[in-house]
Amino acid sequence: MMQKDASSPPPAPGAGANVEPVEEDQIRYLEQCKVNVRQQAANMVRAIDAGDLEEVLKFANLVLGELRTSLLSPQKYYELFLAISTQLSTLESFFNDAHSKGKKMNELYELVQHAGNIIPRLYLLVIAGSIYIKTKEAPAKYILKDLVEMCKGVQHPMRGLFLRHYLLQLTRDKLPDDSDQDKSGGTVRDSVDFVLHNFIEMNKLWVRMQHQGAGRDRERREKERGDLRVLVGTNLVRLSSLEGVDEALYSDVVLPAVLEQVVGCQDCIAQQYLMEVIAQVFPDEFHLRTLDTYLKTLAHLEAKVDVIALMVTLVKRLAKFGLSQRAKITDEMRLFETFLENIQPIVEHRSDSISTVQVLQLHEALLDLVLSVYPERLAYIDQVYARTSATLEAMNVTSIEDAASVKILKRMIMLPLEAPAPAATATGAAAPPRNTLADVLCLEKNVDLLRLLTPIHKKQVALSITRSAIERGAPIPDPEKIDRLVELIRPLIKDEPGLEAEADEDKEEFEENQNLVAKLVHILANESSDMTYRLFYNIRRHFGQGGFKRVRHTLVPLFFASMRLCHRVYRTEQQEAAGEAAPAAEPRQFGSIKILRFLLEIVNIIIKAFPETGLRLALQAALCADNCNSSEMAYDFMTAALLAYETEISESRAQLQAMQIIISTLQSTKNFTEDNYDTLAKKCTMLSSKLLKKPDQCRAVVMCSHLFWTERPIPATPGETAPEWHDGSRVLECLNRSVEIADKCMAPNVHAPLFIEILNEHLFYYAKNVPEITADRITELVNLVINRVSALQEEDLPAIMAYKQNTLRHIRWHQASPREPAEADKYAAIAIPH
Amino acid sequence: MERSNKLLVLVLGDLHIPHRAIDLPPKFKSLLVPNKIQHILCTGNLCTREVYDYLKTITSDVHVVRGDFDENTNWPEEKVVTIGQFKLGLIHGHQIVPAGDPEALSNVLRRLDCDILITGHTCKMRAYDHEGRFIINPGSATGAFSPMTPDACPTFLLMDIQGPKVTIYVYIIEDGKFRVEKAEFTKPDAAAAPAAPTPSS
Repeated sequence: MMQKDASSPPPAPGAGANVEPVEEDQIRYLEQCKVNVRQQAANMVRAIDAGDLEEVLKFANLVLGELRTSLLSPQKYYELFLAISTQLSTLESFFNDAHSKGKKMNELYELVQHAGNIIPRLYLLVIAGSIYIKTKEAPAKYILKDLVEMCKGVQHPMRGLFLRHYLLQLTRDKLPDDSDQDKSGGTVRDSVDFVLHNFIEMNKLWVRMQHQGAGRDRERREKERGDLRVLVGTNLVRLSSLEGVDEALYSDVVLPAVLEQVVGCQDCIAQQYLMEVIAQVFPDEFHLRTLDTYLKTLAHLEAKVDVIALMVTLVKRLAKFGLSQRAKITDEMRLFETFLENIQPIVEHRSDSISTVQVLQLHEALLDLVLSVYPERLAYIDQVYARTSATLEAMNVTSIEDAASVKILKRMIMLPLEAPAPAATATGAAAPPRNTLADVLCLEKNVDLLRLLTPIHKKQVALSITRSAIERGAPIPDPEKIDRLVELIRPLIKDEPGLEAEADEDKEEFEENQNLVAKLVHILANESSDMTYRLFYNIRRHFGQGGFKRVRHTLVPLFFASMRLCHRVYRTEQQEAAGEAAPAAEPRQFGSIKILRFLLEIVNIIIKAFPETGLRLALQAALCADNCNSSEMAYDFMTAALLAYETEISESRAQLQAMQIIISTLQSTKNFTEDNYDTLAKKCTMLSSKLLKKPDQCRAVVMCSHLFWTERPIPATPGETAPEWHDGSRVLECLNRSVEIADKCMAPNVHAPLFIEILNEHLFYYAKNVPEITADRITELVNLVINRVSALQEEDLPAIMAYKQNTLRHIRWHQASPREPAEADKYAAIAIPH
Repeated sequence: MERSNKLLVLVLGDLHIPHRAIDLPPKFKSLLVPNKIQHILCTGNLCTREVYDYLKTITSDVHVVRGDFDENTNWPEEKVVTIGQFKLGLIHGHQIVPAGDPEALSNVLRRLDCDILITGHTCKMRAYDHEGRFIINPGSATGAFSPMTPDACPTFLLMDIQGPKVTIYVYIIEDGKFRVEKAEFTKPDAAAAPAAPTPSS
């Protein structure tokens, strides 16, 4: 059987795209050849069985004679070659047997050369020679040398290539591969010389094909050469599989010889293919050692050779190696520098024929290399960026718009921000250390690349960067980093020329994007509160450029983050004042009051364009200021909210909703002075009674009653009158007022529920033991409610009835309360009719 | 226990995304997988459509009431939903004065005539019996900062409703540690007259 060479795939059969007119003739001719081969092979086997050496050689000659043809295309010739070499394996075993029966190999070696025709003669010589080496009757190196010299006898390119291919196949397992001269009949050096010699001869034959025949056949000829290239490449595969070829032998002998032939042949197809094979078949460690030689050679290749593709291949290989074997790449190897130094002259020299996308592909590969081998060296990343933009600038590229280039450029910008390739973890190798977002934001030259994109692509990159930053959740700890980030995502931060129309088109998308930008606030973090404030202040400056449509989304999270910071700072201030915490080493620059002012500034901006949101923020800030015991600031916030209410909110539903939270907020404060509280509470009551709809008025006034009975502690030294926030008479006043308003609501289905609500409010104060709210008053209201509900129409009943029943049930519950007798007595005073 | 009778209700609110939080805690997200939960009751303050869309991926039956910071003005202020034998009242709670006060909530419970009242706003998780009914506040699912509750931790609830009984699981992340607490509530015998209520357990 023919030995299958795993590393050299056969030329792809049947790949002939352009069917030649002679195709059918070829098939017929090939079939005829195969019939002859089978016949003569059968004869040969019979002769073998008879043990007749002369007859055997005669028929073997006839079998091999078929290979003399010039009528077959490379693929068809290959088929024939396969058929014949299969038959010849019987001949090999026959020679073996002959030797073991006492036949001297040197005799046999002589004998086969009696064949009349050179093709059969040399094939037979190769078989005999290979057995000769195996028997060790003569040193391998002499036989190899003889064989490789003898094969020169065939100078027809295709026939010569196949003959030498056969030589390489049969000697495959017989090449000396160590330094033991006596044992192996030669050293690895002899094997290298043998294969190199064979390689050089084969390449010459292969290149010569290009110059045969008429010029118009060039296309077909190049296709045929393509079909045969693997035969030449197999030599390099063989060299790489010799164990004795170490780094030194490779760099001192193998590579120089191969490169000399590659450069010297001046053939574009050979150079492209062989340089690629060199990069692919030899180990990465060898390449690391000979990188400079290889790259320098690229400069000497023919103009049409795609050297960029060759560099990309090599860079990618080493990047992959670096990912798993980073420790094996030392600084002395100057891997990155060597690439950088060699790339520039080559690219410059060929700037006419190199495209934008090629430049990008090359630098993209280089960036991959940096990130897998030197993940922590950000300066290298910037160098790649700088080199990319400089190269493109030299090529007068000012804008990049084709899809392939845009894709690469985007990836190049995003790469340092993204997680390491999953391949790194899949192979079990330790994942390279990841740069933090803050590290990546030290890069400066990515902006130069970003500049080359169109506005729409810039925005897409901005979105990817923002998303990536948020997904990583890595903190941005200093204000300068915010500037860098904003530079990268500018199209999201403010209106950019070229994007206006697009922003108007899709409001939903715009909001989604702004909400994404808003999330950036959550990744601003620093242990120092002063620094955190500076972060907020800085991003506020940038957000401010976005106009009202953006600040509505972006400033709200900043507002709450600042409020949280304010709370944190105030807490520390309190601890320091109480001596519970050591004062900060450096005096605090931004105290809670300062942050509250910052909040007020944001509130005022939002109120201008979005009063309802602004009002709610003002109220939140009022609570915060109140918590921070800054009643003056709290008053400012309440004032801002009330002003917004009066001047900006006119729709009656919005007014009621706003009034509810204004009252609720004021009610929860704890630190207003009595004067300020009085002013605010009166203002609320006044505004409540001015609401448009009576039921709204009624409900708001009921709510106001709570302003006068709060959880806030009563001062230890009470004044002459009860403080505003603990005054039952004011509560009663409000409730009376609400009853008056409810009475004015004429529709029974409106006023009945209002009365039930008022009754329940009374029950609230009764539970809190407000002296002015008496059992008699409640009994009176209960009767009133029962009376009003009975006047209702059928269709309004269920909900109102249920509310009434639930209220009565609540009173009865307390009357029956077994746990607290005092409670039972208190509620027994309320009379409920049965 | 029959599987078909099992009703899992997710109760959550005051997420304030992106206003006060970047997202739900990853631990919560990993628990809230599609096709396990039949209903969602949300007390509001989501605050963006993106968050609502996310809830919709968990189950299609999502009930939301409007919080004071919701962009969507179409959500109702309050809502009563019937699930199994339970009437559940849903209101954000910023409309209630004093905010979070049990007596004030008690009034809302009576007005909405529900078995369980669910409110939010204070960002503080609560679940307690009240006069034979039940009041729940799921807290803030993101642990959103609020001047009312400056140190809120992320919480949400799952209610497992079976017949007249509801088991409430409270999911909490406190100081970075995740834990689950459990509470139970059984509807008082429906036959008992309102005048003679069974004392709460």
